[in-house]
Amino acid sequence: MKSSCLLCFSLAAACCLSAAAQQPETVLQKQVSAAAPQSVFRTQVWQNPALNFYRQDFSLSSLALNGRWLNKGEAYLSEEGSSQRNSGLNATSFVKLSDAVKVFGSASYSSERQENVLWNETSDFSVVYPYVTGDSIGGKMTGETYAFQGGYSRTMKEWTLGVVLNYRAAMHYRRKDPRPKNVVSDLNVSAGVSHKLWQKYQLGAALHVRKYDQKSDIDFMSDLGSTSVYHMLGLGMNYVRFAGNVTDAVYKGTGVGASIDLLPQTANGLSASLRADHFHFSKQLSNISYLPITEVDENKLALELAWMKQEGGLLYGTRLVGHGKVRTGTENIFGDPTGSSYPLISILEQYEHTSAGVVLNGLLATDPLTRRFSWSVEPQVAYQWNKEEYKNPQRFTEYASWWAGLKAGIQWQFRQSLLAFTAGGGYSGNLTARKQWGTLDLSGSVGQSLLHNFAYLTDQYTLWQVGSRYDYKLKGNQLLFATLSCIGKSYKECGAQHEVALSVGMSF
Amino acid sequence: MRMKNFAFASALAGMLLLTACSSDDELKTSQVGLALNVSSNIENLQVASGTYTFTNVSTGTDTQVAYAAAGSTVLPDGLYNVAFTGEASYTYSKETIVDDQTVVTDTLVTRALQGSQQNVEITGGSYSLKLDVYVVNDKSDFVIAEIYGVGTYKPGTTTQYNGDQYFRIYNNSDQVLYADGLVLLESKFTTTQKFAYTPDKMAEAMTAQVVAMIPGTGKEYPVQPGKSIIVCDNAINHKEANTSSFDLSTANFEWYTNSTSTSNPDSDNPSVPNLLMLYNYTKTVWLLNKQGNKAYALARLGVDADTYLKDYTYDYSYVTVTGSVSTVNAQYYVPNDWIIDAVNLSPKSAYVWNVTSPALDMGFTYFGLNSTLKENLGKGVVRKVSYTTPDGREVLQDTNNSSVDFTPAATPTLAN
Repeated sequence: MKSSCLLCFSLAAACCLSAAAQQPETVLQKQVSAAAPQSVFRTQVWQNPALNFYRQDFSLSSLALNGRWLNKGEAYLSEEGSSQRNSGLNATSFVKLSDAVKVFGSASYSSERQENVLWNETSDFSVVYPYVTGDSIGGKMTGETYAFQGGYSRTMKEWTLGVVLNYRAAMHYRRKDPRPKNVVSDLNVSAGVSHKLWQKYQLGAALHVRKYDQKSDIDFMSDLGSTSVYHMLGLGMNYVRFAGNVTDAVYKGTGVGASIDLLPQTANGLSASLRADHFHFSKQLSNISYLPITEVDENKLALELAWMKQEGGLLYGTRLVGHGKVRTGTENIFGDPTGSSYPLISILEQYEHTSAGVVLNGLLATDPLTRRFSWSVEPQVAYQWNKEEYKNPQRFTEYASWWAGLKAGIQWQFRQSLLAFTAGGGYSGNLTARKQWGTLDLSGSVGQSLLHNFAYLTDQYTLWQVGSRYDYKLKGNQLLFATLSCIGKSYKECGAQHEVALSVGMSF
Repeated sequence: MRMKNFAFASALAGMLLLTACSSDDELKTSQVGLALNVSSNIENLQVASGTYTFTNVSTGTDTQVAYAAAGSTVLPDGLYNVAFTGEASYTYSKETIVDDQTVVTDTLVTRALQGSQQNVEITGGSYSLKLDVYVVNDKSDFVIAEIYGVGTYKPGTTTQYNGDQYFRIYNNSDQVLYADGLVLLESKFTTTQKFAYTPDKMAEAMTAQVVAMIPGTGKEYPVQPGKSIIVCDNAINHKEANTSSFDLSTANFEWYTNSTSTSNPDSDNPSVPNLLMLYNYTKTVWLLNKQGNKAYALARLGVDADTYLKDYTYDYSYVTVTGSVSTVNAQYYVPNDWIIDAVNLSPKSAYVWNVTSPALDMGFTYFGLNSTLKENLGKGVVRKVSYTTPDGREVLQDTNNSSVDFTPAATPTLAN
């Protein structure tokens, strides 16, 4: 009886995602629905908080303890360290308050550790590169991150409105000279709207704004005094004029973005999301009256097209993701100082990082909402191109790679349990590896670091991954779950990289 | 309804396009016209060849440009230190009487030229550089061969060890010179911070905060060609207290400031003659600046000591960081004509300007790349050997350009 009810529910849910009609009743059904390809195959459209209203039509919350160990071997960027350890707590919630109002949010705490970080004493390398503060000593970086999200969406006749706020606060430090202490504050707010289009789609738009701050101070406690720190400019260059004892900096950034999105009312059909973002930050030296020495302007464009069709108990899908980015770095040039006052005499756009990539996914799966045992197969091919350039003296690094992989999964519902396994593999090959570093001393610490990074970024590797998740439904309509995933990469030159992640938690 | 949806989508697409616009600016550059202003009394002196070196202060990169009579180059906008080294020639006509006939013989004479200018702001698309260059004085005399100023730490401690700073002064000529009356100078101004001083006396004199004279009546302290004398802080065997220091007990002279501070007394080795401290800014112990941001020079006073102390001060002021004018300061100066050698020191990354005339020193040298004491411990600057004569005498390089004449961040010779 129970199984026939579940089958009825699954069939209904598969036919219509948006309507508030048939909903999963048990938490196990909700988990199946939340993890189903119909929900997770598309990703970018959910960044619009108005469209997030249609992500699921039921309430589901979870609380989890998680841990992650990543040993990168030799396959790492010097500035990001050779290994990472994270452990923490994560809570997420999606609550349907009424047929017209849904709220969603999350909160997380993470304790983090990176080993062997070199030529970067700053947090969020991917955000503030290339203008990090670095030195040749580096070492272990410890830290904590707190993140909060709160979102609200509601429908009003044919319109849907939504707003979401994300806030991340992080602190990273080292208890040995040189002793960086970085405090990060990152606030993102998105507001979105969508409108019913031709009775089959939701056409949406969203506006995204960002406020980013980082205070990065380096102290030396040794009585022997300090070693030199450098304000990096990209590709091994540094702002020689301010090298040495100018150890404190702040990063102040703002971002704005917009997206236009299309979401089908049912799982069948084409979804599309085009998002453009602009981000700007300046690096200021606190020791010298907050002198703004460098600035970054980044323009990003991201496109996701996803098509899905359900037919005969099978799901077919294809997804194309394309992204491009131009990050330009500007150096403020100061004139003959009078005392400690530095007049701005010129602004030079010296650094540029351009990247573009495309990922094509396929999907063939049985519908997990309609059967106890389901499977899925996702082939994937990708291409990625990057070029980093410093204009004078001219230096550049250019690399491109391709990727082909396959991921498969099975899921089995039995009694009060849900068991899922995934396995996958793939290969990434290098297509282009060019560099010109001019007079850079390759035997020096900076040169060695750059060589190491280039070897990693242009290496080819084989990837394998396995994962599993087990959910058990308690009597009180709650789920206990545990997940485990392992990823291994075997690089041709940089050796092996291993990652293990696990979590245990409860959903309700 | 469809029309309304289309308008909605169009507005969004337009907004996206605006947001996605990216900059494609080229690097800003300026056309730099190159000209030399040769400061010399030699008639018909013509610049024959040479090289301009533009050092970008921000990135530390050098760009070299070969001399041309009406040369120009293109450089990225920025702040530069410019140096020129080259050669100039003139024809010297000599009349001789041969068989009651006047015979004129022309001889082509070549002289080295050099000049420098700091903090040249090249921006705005074009810039005309007119660089003052000087004929290199090739007379041989005493030179500062070495400055050891950073010091060390006391063994097993993190306490700075003082007292073992020294200068090595070298007879770079081929004849005996006397150190009597030689004056050691420390600049008042620092090479790492520039102020607009009024009056600007640098073209004619060096403003000094230490004027210390080697005693003697004129021929008491002979120095043989190719030999050195050591002038140090405390002439004792520092190795007894600090194994990483030196034995300076055999130094030729020491400076003694007769410190009035009971907590920071100066020590005196009575068996080693003291410098005559004509003027010293401190009432405690004179320590050379450990970051190395001063200039040091050797001079021979053109007047007697009493006259010098009476007549060679001037009043100056400068614009402070806040924009106000400083109080008027009285300071000693030493005319450039009296100076026989000058060395500007600055941490490489913190260098701002030279505090002596380019005619005395067109470059600078350094204890360390940065002003981080820990990295610079035990380092000094040592003048390079230009060549060795057949009789084994080393002739040290003296082109009045400390950037090329010295080995920076070098191990002191007394440590060898």
